[in-house]
Amino acid sequence: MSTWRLIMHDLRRHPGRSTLTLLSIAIGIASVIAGSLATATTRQAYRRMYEEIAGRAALQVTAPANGTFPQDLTEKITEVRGVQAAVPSYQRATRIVFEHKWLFLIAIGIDPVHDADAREYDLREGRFLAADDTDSGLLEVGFAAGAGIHVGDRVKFLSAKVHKPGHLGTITIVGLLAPRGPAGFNKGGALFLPLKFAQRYLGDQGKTNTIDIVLADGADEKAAAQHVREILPPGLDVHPPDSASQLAKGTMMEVEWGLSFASVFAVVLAFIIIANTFLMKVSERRPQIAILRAVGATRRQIVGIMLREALILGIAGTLLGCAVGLAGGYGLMVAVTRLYVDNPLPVVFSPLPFVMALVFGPAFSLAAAAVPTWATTRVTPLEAMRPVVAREGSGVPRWMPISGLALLAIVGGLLVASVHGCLPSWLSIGLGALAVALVVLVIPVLVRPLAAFTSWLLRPLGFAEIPLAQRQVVRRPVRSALTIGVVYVAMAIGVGLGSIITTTVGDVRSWYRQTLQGDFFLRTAFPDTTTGESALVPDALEEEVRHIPGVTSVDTMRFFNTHIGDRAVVVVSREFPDREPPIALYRADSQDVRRRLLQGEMVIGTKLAQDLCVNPGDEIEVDTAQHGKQKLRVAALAVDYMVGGQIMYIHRAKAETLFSVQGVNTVLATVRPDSLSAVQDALTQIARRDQLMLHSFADLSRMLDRMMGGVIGGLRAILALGFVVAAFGIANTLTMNVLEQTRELALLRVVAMTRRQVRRLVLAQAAIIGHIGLGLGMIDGITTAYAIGASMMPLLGYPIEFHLHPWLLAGCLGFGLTLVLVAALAPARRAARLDLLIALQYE
Amino acid sequence: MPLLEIRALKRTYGSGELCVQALRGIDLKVERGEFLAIMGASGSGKSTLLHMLGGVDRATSGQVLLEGADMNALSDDQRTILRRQRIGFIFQSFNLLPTLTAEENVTLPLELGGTPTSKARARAEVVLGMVGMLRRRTHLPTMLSGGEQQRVAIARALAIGPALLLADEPTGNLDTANGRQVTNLLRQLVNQQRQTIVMVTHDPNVAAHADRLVCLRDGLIASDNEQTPVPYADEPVAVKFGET
Repeated sequence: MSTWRLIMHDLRRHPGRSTLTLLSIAIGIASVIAGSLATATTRQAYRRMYEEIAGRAALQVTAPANGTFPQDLTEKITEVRGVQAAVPSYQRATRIVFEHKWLFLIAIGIDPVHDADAREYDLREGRFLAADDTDSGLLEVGFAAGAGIHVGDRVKFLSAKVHKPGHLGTITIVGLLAPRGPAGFNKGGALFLPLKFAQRYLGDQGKTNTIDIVLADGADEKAAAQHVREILPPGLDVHPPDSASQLAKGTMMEVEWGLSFASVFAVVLAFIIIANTFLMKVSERRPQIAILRAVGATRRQIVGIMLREALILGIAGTLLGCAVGLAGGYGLMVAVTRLYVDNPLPVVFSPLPFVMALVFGPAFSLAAAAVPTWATTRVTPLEAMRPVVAREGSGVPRWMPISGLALLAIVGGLLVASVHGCLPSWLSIGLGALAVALVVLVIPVLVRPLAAFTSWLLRPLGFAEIPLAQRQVVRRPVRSALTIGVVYVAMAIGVGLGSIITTTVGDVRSWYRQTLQGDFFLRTAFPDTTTGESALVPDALEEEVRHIPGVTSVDTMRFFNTHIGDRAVVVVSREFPDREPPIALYRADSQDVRRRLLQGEMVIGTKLAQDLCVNPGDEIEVDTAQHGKQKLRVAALAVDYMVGGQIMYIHRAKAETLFSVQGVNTVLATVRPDSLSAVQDALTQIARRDQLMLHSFADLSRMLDRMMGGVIGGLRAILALGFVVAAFGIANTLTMNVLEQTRELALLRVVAMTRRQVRRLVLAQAAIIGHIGLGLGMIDGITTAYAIGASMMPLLGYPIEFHLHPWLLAGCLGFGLTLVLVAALAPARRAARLDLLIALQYE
Repeated sequence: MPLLEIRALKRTYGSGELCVQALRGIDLKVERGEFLAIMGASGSGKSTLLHMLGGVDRATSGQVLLEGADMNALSDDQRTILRRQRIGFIFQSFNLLPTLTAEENVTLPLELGGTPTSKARARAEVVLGMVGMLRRRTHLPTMLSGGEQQRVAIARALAIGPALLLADEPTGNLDTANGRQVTNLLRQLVNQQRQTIVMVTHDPNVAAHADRLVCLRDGLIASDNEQTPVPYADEPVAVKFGET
């Protein structure tokens, strides 16, 4: 079919333009896919990780903190309608000793007979636990290999009970498990024991702290949960097993917002570039289109040709974007998960983003080409007869600014509503992007005054070409507006996202400087985000560190989980020895807060406070194990970047009373400056001895920066790509401008202009376009940064304060202007090299 | 019934003080198999008249009846389809699509009308043969001389088997020899196939090959005379402008 050949010929004939359109679509698709993969697969990985622990259980009863409850509750739950099986287990942090090595892990007491109803175990070596087993245990194969433990080895473990505290019990390892399912718990650091043995040596006989509930096929989960709730004693609740992974979800939301923001703006940029490219195609191919009309092509057929071309580019761009997005998504996934765990989670790919891309990518290309394609219907066959009809409108269609302003008013109103919480906050990203795109519709009517203003600004440079360049820019306001729009969107993203990143990084640094006050930190592993459990440091460690010469003060931290209502909350208990508590307080007096903490009040995260609709001074009920629900007063609110604001600070003494928690996970030491080296040596020996981790504050800062660095690097990469694509768009448009001005430029050369002046003319056009776009983009970027900061309120529980970063603005402006002028070099050179004789004959 | 009939045709551009009357009331009939030449000074309205006949522009008032159908009353799509099916165009600047071969340019109007490619190609072979361009069918326009391009353009116009062939200064961009070739070709089409041709030209030597000469002045027909056409031989015959 000749029309397909027409399309392919044209694509081959303009490889630069075709590549630009292709790249625009690819980048838009790639950024959406990369962002979607990073968020969707890490969410799925967390969910799957927790599901592997919970197995087939649809519901779970857990005791808060170190609490326990009678095991005979299991039989009662089994009798509830809809329940197929109820499986008890008992979990406690403990330590084992093997060949003089102390190893920290979580002991899990399981019912060897019934546990398989809820979970699947993959035995690699040896045998599973038997019903009559007593002192037998199972380890994960990787953990065992690391410790040098084999099937048949006997290991000692620290038991809390039996004769006297600190007594070491002994068990035989009878089997090794593959690193999946429940053996993946605590990243392999789990010891599976017979339940009765665990209860006897680690806790209370006849007591348990977890019951997993498997429902019968077709059972109503909500109804079953309600029935179970009715038979539970006070202080216990039933909930889905992944409620604790809500903590992980909460912490990921901020990153997801950043990724969504960058992706949406990349899509907006791609849309404008594609629309601009197709507008240029229409302009350049007017004679061709007129001939087709003259020989009998209807308007619909012309539209069909244009749309088919858009479809080909859309499909090719989507496929390329999927490939690039996959690579980018993998990198982002590794970076994002590193934020939350020491080792990357197992990668789980979701096909959904690719399916969506394959559907919407081509549709996106068609949508972007729609308006330029519509413009082809205005080409009449008369243009083929004689070039007497005006080739392209030099005015601005009235519908553009009117519809742009009207829609901008509506979208602006919705955006304000979203920022203030009247509409879902996640809408603000899409609305913000839409607002940016709508501004492009209004730019055409601003081209004339802005070009005049910019020319006036540039006039001191003394180039005579500037007024001429200004006239060229104004002559095609719609084309100029689209090119300005490309620069404007890139600048808006750069300034907006750059400001938010800079402010957030500053906030995070400020947060951990306030919360991690100390020169050295001795710790076990970070708490598991799914359970809040973490092994404890030796009891005597605190005193030992306190007595090291040079240590001026010692603080401790203990992490554990509890529930407030159905919300999982991480509790941090500390001594608060200093006058200013190491908490990133939100609008509170630190000394007053310390006083209240010592009196038994608590400080909660801003997000938690927002979710519970509480303010300082209010009381809320907290789940405790031994004492049921207890009311605690809120002393103040705190900013938190660790667990998405679902955090509670409490004094250690109060925690021990309320939650019966003993021991700590982390010891923090503040040291005299002249003793840093000596104290570090002493602490290093202790860490080696007790198999602990030792960090200096500098180490921790570097670690946190590294964790953030991956994500921030990804976002900056998207920004840089946006600018690069914008540069290609500008080069393309200026080349088109040069082509259109061929005859005029030739006449100028004949009359008086040197080649150098022609080059300067094209560069001046670029400078005018660039200044307008960069200026508008800067204003929009600052507004966007302010709006995003304000819209963080529903996400964080407090708005991010707006800061102007002059160096960022200057950097974006300088980089943008440089890029614009570099993009103009090739078109300028082309214009300067015009063959005068050929150019004078150009129509 | 004449193939083409024009009744009280008027065309006005602009309004108010900027109003220009390109045609001020044209009445004309063209019979099947007739070769009509239209001449006139610049601004006389001859191109505008051709645009009306081809349905590429709409008259302000009056009728253009092609095989009884009033083109002025048709929608843009209807006029386009009519043009595709019944009217062949030959342009001064050839207007071949530069990215298509000669054969592809000829098959274009057929394929736009839904003709299968194989049938379109078969038809292209015939018409390219008629104009003596069969051997060059795979060549791009840039590889052809002006005369050759115009012959391909004529083949494209003939491909649909048009009732009416409209030629707008077909020799305007050609040298004398090529122009003579094209003019002879047009004459042959009329003599051998009873093709109806309406041609606008400013060249009296070209107009001399027509059966009838219509002269326009200021948007009106100044003269309309039958003439004995010059046979398609080599020597040009000068015909004075406006002589009856």
